[in-house]
Amino acid sequence: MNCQMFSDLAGDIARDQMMDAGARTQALAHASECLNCADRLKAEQRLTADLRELVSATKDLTASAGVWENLSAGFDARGIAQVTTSPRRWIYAAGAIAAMLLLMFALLPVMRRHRQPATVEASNPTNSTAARAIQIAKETGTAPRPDDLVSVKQKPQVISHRRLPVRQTSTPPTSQPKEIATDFIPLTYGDPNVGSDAQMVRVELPRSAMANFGLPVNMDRADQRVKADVLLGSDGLARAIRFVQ
Amino acid sequence: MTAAMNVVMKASVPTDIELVRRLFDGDKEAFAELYRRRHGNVYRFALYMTGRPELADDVAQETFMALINNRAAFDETKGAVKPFLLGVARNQVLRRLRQDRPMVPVDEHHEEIDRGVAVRGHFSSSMRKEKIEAVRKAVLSLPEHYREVVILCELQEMSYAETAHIMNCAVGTVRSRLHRARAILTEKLETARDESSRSDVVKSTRCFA
Repeated sequence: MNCQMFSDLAGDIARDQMMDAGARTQALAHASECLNCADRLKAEQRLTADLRELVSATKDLTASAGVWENLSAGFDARGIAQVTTSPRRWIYAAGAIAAMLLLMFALLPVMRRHRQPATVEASNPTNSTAARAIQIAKETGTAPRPDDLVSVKQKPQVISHRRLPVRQTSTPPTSQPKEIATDFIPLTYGDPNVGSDAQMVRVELPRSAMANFGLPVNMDRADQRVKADVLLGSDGLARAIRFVQ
Repeated sequence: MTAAMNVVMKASVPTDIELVRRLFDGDKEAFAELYRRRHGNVYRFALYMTGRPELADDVAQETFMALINNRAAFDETKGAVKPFLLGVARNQVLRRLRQDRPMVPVDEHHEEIDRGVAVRGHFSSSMRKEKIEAVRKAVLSLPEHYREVVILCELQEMSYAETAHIMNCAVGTVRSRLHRARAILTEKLETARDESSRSDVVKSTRCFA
């Protein structure tokens, strides 16, 4: 063993650390022959003794009593917090679920409206004449006369629920394109009573269908489609029809 | 008979890990017992590292508070309770030292050592006090990375492996740092010893004169 190797082991020997017995024996044998290494070993042993004396002198040093008091209070507060927070968490969770449900119920009608087709029949004021004709026909028990129904010149207003009513009313009527319509042609195969819930529905038909009602048809455009308003009774059956251009 | 009783006594004394488990279940007695057993190690580690009793108090408090408030931090499969506590304390100490680096008083610890010596009543000799104080100052004067390894291995009697775990480094690093730290300490203390013996010679010469 040389001095360098001894130097690496001197500390462990002085500290009585577990080490290889052979290496320890060799190191001690080297120290007995080398004066410098012997001094080194003594210095290491003095240091170990000094450090152990420091440990011995300070082994009873402890933290002040206030530390335990604070920790004890902290432990108690933690216990209280655990007891009180767990039900609170349930309350918060239940509240959150309830709020979500309320929100869903509040939004559900709006979402449904958005999903519905955007066209709904117009309100009464736009076709008040037709309604009056329907009412008369209802009272008399006959089909509405085409003359009465002719006065319904305006296109049935289509209400989009995505638009606000205010915006609809603010639109000037003159800006809407005018439509030319034929008179209402009664459909004789149905019950002449239209009922109280008569509705008018805009449909598209082949232009050739006009010929069935005795209207002139340009055969060059026979394959094209033409718009028509069908007056439906409360039972859903068509009572009259008019063609619109 | 006595040996059998000792075995029974040992079996009835809960281990640190058992105490920690009970403390996590809300057992305050277990917490008190664990504190009684281990707070001295934590406190003294912080005191040796900083030389400031009030800071050591804070570190001890925060270390145990961390244990009770963050139960996830302690994993009993990764090591014993004492190294865990010392690891937490080490982090606290290093953080504090970095914050308060400009002012690290040395003399406060002197009073603390005196208090400890007075409490024990074993140190009547002022020479012994001086020697202990010299050792303490020498340890405190070491660079942090040498100081902590001396404190853990020599003053807290931790193994190399435990120290490496606490310091989050290799065992070889611990060995080499300890070797270097001991060399520095030996040099300082031998120098102080020589100066002391020289002054004793001067004193005695004056006395005889």
